[in-house]
Amino acid sequence: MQIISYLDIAHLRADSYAGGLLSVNELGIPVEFIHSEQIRPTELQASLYGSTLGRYLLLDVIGKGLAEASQQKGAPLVVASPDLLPLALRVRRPVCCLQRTENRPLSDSGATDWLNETELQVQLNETRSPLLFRIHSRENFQAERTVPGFSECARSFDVLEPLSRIRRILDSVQRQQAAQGA
Amino acid sequence: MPEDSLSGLDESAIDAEDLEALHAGFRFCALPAMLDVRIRVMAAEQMRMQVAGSFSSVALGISPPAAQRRGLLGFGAASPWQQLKIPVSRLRMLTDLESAREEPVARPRHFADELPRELAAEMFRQIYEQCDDCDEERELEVVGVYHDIPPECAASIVLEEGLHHALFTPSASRNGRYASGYSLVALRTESGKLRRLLLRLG
Repeated sequence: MQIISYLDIAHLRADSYAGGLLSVNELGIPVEFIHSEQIRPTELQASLYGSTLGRYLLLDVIGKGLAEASQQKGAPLVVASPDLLPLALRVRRPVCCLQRTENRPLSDSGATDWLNETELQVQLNETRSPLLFRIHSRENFQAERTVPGFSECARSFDVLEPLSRIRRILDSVQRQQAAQGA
Repeated sequence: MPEDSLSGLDESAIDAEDLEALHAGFRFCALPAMLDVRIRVMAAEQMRMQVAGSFSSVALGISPPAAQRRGLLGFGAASPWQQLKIPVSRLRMLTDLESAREEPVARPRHFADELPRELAAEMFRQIYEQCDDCDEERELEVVGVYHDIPPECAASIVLEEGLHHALFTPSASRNGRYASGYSLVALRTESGKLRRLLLRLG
């Protein structure tokens, strides 16, 4: 079974953060969803950590925490923002950030084209534009092993689509928690 | 020459008495400014040491007051410990697969001419088979093909306005199984009605 994990971290009201990690199978059906509690740094913490606070919270606290709590430890991790790519230094799984392009299709499905050390285009669908994969390092991403899994999943579903679900699931969870608390 | 001389000034052109008054005036002005700068530097250094102390004690794994008691830190505790620490290990991670399965999954639309030839032929064969004995209009147009929609979730299928996506809800499968290889075909009849067929094309 081919699994892809997706990570997004939402900056909520009142400077609090919550993250969600959704793992889907080769049909895009959820097999795991983990989310963090809301975390809200105090004003003193915000002053002391300064500009490093956001990075520390996103990468070391929420991102790494979710990735380590996941059962799908070997699955590639698609992050919602390039700011989360340094997670590649903190977890043992391929990390990438995906972006649509309007470039003309590459030769055939599964074809890759390295644009530079941290960006490659991958043709996942025979007729549509290639996707841009942003990565932290070639060593972490291991394109030769990781890309075929994305190609397999792309036969069934749009591999960017599950990311959009995470925010909606987080919203739904927050609403449930608020209703239970009321 | 006085220590606080005015650089760039041609002092030889000034009367000695005036020069003395000028230097005195400069010293008078400079002294408060220097004091103020010195105070600011001291305050910044003190703050830096306090913050560094707090983080040093984080590295030591003990609170600033405890570190100070043990003589590991040579200055006063900066702030209450609980306010400084971001509790990484205590942040709870919760599993909620049910909520994730309640969220609709979107499948993008493909057009019939995007399908491989054999798959398109199989699709049209099944459409003719299923619609041959229908009482409706004979002219049907394929307006969208949506791959890999599990038949177990058929009851939850919704076609988005504009037909860009078909949505289904994984929780609609009562047994938690999801068969692959089924595609939803959206057809438009002569009168403009939309028909949906779930065909096994894989």
